[in-house]
Amino acid sequence: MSRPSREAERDAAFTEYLHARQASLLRTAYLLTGDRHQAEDVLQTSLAKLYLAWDKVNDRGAVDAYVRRIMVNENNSLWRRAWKKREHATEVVPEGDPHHDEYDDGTNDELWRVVQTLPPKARSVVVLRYYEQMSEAEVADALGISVGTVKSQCSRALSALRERVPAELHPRHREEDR
Amino acid sequence: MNTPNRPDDSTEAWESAMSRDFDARVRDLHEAPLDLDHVKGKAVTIRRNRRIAVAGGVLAAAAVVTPVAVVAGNGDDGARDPGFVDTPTETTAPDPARPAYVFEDTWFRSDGTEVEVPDREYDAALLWNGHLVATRYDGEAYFVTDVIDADGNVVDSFDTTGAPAINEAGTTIAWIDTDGTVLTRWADGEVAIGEVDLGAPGETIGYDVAAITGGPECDDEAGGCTTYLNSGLDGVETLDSRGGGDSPVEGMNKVFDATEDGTVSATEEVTDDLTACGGLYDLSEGDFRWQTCDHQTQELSPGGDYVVGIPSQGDGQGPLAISVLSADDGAETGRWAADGAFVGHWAWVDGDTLAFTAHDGANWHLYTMEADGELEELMVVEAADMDFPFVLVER
Repeated sequence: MSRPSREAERDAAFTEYLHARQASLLRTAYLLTGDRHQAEDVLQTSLAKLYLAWDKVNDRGAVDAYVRRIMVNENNSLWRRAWKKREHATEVVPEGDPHHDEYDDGTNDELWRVVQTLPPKARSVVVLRYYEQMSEAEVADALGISVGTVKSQCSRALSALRERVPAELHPRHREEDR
Repeated sequence: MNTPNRPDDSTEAWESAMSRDFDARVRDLHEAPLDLDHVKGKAVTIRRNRRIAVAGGVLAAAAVVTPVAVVAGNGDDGARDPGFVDTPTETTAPDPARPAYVFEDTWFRSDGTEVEVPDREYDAALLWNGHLVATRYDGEAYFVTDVIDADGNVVDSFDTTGAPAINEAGTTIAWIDTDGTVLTRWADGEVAIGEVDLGAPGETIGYDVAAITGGPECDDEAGGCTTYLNSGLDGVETLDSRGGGDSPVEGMNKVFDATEDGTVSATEEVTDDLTACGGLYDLSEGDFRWQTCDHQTQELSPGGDYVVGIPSQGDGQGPLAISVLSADDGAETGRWAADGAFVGHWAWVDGDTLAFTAHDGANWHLYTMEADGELEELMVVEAADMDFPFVLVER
């Protein structure tokens, strides 16, 4: 097959994937970045890298995992670049308007604020673990870290939530109220 | 999907709350703002930027390769051979002054012979101990280098942050693996001579090897090798076989080449208007032999008489001109530029012959230019929208 033909075939397959999975990936990107515009930037870069690697991602069932890993790395990289450029003088993730504020049972905004203060790698862990519902082993594999690190990052995130979310808004307390 | 472990009720409640809140936070986000053009446009940018690292400052546009025509080699754009051929082999007759290059799945060697190699869209290549050392983007952050023998067999592959550098004698290569280890390899040995911090996995900020001097063996502490490492954050470090040491080029912005006689082609600073100023630095003198803000110096010719110069202000698809400069004083001895065209890639063929590729908006051209500016056009390839078709082989 000629190279132009291969490209046309690649473009068709990639477009199909784009239509099927983009919205879902944007949601993950938003949770990773906390900012809609950054989420789109991260997603665009990640999809572009996927496009460049499309021919070698032979297991089409693993494409989502591949993109998620790129998104996490890209977000970490953006964060580190911003830090190096001193655009952010402290270890505070870039602020952005939340995409969706209508939902709030009381814990949501506080929880979201806590999540946004997590370092990017810890935040990646909790997003993959609690949004993507990946197992500790799957998160470890996706991020190239140990299962122990996944456990400790999750534990620290939950501890931070316990400390910072007002007691009356703690989920068990709220369940007992119901 | 898997359900997170729940070691106790409290943890379970918090985990559930987090999952629930994450879901709620994005449940109305159904948009799909990107189309294929957005993605491909970004892909071109990424690939071009990676090639800056892998090809030593080259900004290249891309082209889908469809070889359609071969050009009579007289440098006259109007004198093209009307006879189209399937491959460019007919015009690359054996000639010691002919460039070696990889075109799709063929390695065209400077002696006129051809070797079939994997069609892996290589970004950079060099000749090392009779092997083709060809580097390609790995699609994510770094690169993969294939070592290909004279029969076209890939005999080794390794991950790297950029294209390996080769010493002047062509005996020793150096690269940085994706863990940050600086490695050197010669015909029958390999040694790690140090490490750099590449940061997090997948980082686009890192280091690559700009040049290596010394060798062939790099495990000899008395002699050994010196590697010049460019940081992605600007700045140059050196590592030698003794494990480090003071950098003789401390304060430089970027190094492009270094020779055994102590000449270093370097950019000293990039001004606020993004003009690169530098020149040839003489290690024995501890000072620049000459400096310029008119050109950004690149690779020195074999023998060290000349150095490639590109415009000191770069933007767009690639350099809008390419020059041969005297290594003695920086005087321009040859120059190519054309309206609406830019340069893609270049490599020295011999001590006074430079090969380069250029794109005119519709076609890619392969040229050689003598030190005195005499131009010869070797081939034309119809270009589409991605990837320069010729990967010139450094020797």
